[in-house]
Amino acid sequence: MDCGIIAIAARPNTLKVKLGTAIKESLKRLEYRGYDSVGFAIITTNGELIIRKSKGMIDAVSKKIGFDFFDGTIGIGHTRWATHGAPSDINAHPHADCVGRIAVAHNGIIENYLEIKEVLTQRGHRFTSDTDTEVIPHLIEEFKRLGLSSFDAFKKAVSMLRGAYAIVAIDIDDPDKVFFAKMTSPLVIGFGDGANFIASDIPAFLNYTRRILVVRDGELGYITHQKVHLELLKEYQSINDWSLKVPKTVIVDYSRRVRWIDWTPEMAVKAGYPHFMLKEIHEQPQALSQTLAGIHDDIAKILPIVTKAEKVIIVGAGTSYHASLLGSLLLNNIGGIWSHAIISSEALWYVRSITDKDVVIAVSQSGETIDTLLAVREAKKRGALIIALSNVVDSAIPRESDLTIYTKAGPEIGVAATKTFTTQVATLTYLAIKVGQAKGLLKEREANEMIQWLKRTPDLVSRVISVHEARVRSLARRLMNKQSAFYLGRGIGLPVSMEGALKLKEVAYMHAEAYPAGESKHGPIALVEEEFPVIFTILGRIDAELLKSNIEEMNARYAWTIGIVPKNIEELVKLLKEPIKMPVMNEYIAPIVYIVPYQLLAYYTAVARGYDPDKPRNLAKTVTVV
Amino acid sequence: MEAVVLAGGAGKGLKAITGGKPKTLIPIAGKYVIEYVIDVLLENNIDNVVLVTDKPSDFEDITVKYGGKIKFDIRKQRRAEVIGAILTAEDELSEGAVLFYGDTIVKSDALRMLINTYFEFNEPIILVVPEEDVRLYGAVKVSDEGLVRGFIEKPKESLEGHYAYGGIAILNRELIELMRSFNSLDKAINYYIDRGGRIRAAIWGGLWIDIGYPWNLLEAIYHVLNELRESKIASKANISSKAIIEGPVIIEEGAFIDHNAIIRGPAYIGKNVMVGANAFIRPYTSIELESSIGSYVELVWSSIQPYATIGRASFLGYSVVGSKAVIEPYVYTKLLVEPERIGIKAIKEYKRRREYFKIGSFIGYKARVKSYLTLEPGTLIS
Repeated sequence: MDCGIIAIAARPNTLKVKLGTAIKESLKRLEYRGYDSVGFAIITTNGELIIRKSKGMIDAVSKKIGFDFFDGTIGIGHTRWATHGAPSDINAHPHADCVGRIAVAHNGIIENYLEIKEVLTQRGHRFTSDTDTEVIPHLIEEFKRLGLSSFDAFKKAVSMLRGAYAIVAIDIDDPDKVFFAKMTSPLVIGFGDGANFIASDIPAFLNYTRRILVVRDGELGYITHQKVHLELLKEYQSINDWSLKVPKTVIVDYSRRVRWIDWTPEMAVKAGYPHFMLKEIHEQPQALSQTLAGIHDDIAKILPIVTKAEKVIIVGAGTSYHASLLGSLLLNNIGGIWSHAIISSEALWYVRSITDKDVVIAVSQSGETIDTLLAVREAKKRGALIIALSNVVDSAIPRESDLTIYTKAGPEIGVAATKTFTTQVATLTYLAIKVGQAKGLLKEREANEMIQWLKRTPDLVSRVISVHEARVRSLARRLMNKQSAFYLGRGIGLPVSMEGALKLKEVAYMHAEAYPAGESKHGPIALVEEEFPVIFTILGRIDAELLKSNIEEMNARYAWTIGIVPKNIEELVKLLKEPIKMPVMNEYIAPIVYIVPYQLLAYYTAVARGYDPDKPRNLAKTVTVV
Repeated sequence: MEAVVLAGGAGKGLKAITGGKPKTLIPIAGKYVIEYVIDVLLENNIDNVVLVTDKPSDFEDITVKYGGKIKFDIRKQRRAEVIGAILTAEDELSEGAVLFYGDTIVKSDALRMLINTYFEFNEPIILVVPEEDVRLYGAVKVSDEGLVRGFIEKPKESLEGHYAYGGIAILNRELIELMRSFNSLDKAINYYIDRGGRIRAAIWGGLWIDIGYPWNLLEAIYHVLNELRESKIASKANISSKAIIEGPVIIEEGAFIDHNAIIRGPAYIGKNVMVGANAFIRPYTSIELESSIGSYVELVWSSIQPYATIGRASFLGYSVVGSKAVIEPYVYTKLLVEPERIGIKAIKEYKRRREYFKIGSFIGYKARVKSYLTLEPGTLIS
């Protein structure tokens, strides 16, 4: 779980907007960290502590929880992204003590919270949520009750916590201060004019200030609207130490550590990559492991329904359509079920043949794609059962579907989908294997072997990236001067080619056309001339013989033949002018790994041509207009 | 913020060309290599620069030129090698100053990304570049999480799955202390990682050239001149009305272009350069100040360093001519290399469905090439 935190201490009227609005705006700039529930706490101008929180995305719940109604001098906010388990109103942050005088938001995991909770419960504290965070306000409350000042009680509480945390806390009895503490999870302070800020990440307050201080592990302190106070915790106390001995700290002189930064909010969060697209390509091993970790239980929910279905219609748009196409080919080929993939915006032409015996799988990264949503609604009217495959918890399509499976790719910011594609394909592939097994089309041994290969994809993708990134980068420098390219493939290699061509179009603005390799001689080959790039997807031996003659016919026209090819198919490796030699693996699983060089090729071609791959012209991440 | 720029020594690969002057003071299109570095620092609001060099006096002109914008602290390098240079500025580097190899030509976005990431994680960070052959640079192994898993300063062989070390980094006190006790860059980094220390890798796939060998100058000229969008011709340049000038070119003051000379851009003609009658200056040629190009000379994609002379009707392509060198009349360079000839790094071109490997000759500082010689590809004359 990755959360975003913001805290603001401001002199009245310095922010130009109400404090609640300022918190909302800051949280929105942390949305890249996740967004399935949000909340805030403010000490209002009349000295009340208001806590409001809800599940849902910020824009969707903004009215409901009323960010814009509340003003005050100090406040904290929190946004959360759950990869496991549903978000809920109660589990959303901030959390309060028993009487609602202290509010805390937290990012990280408190490892010893159960022990603390037990002790506090014995001491009469009542807990409302299941979260680890809630022990913090109660601990502070308890030490205040025993006689410590707010700040000392906060220090004492922090010294008892074990684990990873970035914490911000406010207390109605000390209404000028926001307390904070950090261990492992990130925390940054912003120095403003008449207002100071604390956040998980710099973009949260870039609208107000560019003077920052990165808080280090073990540091804690407080901010007021005039002052930042920083101490280093020197002593961690046991949870059995209920004496009033305040843990030892030293005051930190941070003046040399304050930095001035001059970049835009979005530049600040790319974690060592020049663009989100490259970051997300590199995140695929992680995204795949996370998706595969919970896949057995997820698919078990829908398996009986899909197996019984007469037809399985998969709808998607753009990259999701290519994942759908792969899914439908696999469901037909190894699942033994009649399945068809349809482009969402074209789906209405098929709706009349959908019946209540059918299952519709709606594939959408954002869960908000309007074309897909409309297709879902029509299919639902015809009585079909709807299963959503999405990356955003509780988004529109999952809400309107009967069942939902989530890819656990984490937020995807780059407009060109990369890690959501591979995780969608992994999910649909797993489904097809399981259906095939249930229908007896795949023997248990075969199915298990495929699943083993699927489990190895995070490793294989990681290897393909590190081995081929440099090679693909130099290939891109040559491709950049071309006008146009063909991407050819057969069977499940075709959707891989289609996705490769789409990526090149989207980010490198180069005309690229994907075609079934066997069909190319019925037309497109007329365009091929000397040095024309023709890129082949070869997944394994199944179609290798046929693809060989396709490559030969292109070579005969002096095309520049490039190929993603298993390294053991030597005759094709030799035949291609630019073979990209891939690990030998099960062909049905190969698309997940073999798409990666295409993603890198599109990325580096865009960069070589001087374009920003994160902001392709004319494209939006989530298309919510018809 | 502060930066420590290693302005260093001559460098083995370029010693013949520079005659022992620091390679960061080689001009490319009128600007020293180190000025490209300083411009990147300025674009990232870095105005405190520690410059480490074994010859501080060589850098006086630079400090004067940038004096208004940057506070320089020029230090004489105490010990040899990169590690010696790093330790000369260990105080600043321990405090998180940017370490920047002065021979690195890179877009300012690369440094911006590195600094951003540093502030995001507050962990040491180094720039890495996906390069196919890492032998000429350091080799860095990177994990899925973007952390450095291993570092080899001078790889003996090309390593699959490694990135090239990009020559830009932000370190910390602990790393500097390890470097001091090991007196080695890679030992310190590997020891730090092995003990659980975290170093981020920032991956940069855009323009990046490490100026180590003559052909790197050619690459740099290509990229610098490709950025030209318009011509700039000094009013005090003297250009014959019968000379032909095409494409974006820069012609500095005092340059003299004689009758019927053809200059096809992108190209750079430096201060007080003389281009003789009927000379043909083809794209990606950079003629630095005070050089003299004889009549009927043909030049393509070459770097002519200051005060060089090229005699009548010579042909030089894909070549670097060191400063004060003299090419006598009728000297020809041959360009076409047999593929992958050992020991030669050539430039790959694709024409008429064939790959060509081309490279010219490298003429050293104050060298003299006799008339009527034909130079084989990759010849080095010092």
